Amino acid sequence: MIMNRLLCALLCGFFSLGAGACARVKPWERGQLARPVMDPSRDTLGLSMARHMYFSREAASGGEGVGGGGCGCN
Amino acid sequence: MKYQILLKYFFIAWVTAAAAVAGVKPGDVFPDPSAHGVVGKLPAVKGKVVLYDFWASWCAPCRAALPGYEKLYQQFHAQGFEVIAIGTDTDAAAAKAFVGKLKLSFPVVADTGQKHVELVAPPTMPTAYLVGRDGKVVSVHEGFHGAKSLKKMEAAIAAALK
Repeated sequence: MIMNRLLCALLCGFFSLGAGACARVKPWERGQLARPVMDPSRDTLGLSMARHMYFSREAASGGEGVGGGGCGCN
Repeated sequence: MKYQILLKYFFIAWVTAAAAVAGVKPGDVFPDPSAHGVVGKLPAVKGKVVLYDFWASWCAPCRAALPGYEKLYQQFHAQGFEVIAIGTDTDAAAAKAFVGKLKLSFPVVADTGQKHVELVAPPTMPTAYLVGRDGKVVSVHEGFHGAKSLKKMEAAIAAALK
């Protein structure tokens, strides 16, 4: 009985943590997402440096944009 | 009996989630913006039909809607109609810069603390609430789709003014 209650309490805690991770951005808060700082391609120099690093150090390129979707077919 | 705690938990979670998304609906009394930290001069609205528009400078349909609301304001103002645009920008300067270009006749107030918008909880941006002479919400207009939206609002305002 105690074990069951403990299990239930653990499950409730687990679901609460899971629900906390799924916070919905409210319509009036979407201005934060529209800020230039949220654009991943805002720093073109940094982006090209990161691409160079992945290519030269890890022999990895593509997997972004429409050129290479990570499907291995192009 | 065995899963009573789990059932109670899910019920509380469901009620909490439902309460979180619930906002002002048709038939509800529209909350007074001045009582919830909205900054700006509000007109006297007692006994008038009011269109409360929630907008933001970063939202393109919101910006497109404001000149349309100006036309509605000019058309119906003499009959006891008011438009109050409630800006939800946290950056008041961005909203002020945009509004300055439009030269609107109706009041544009700022809810930079987002307390009033949180209470009303519009389902999308922009959302316009048409409030009748009794202070109760007559209709909720979600989004803005140009002439189609304006025509719908025009009919609703005319009906509310009767």
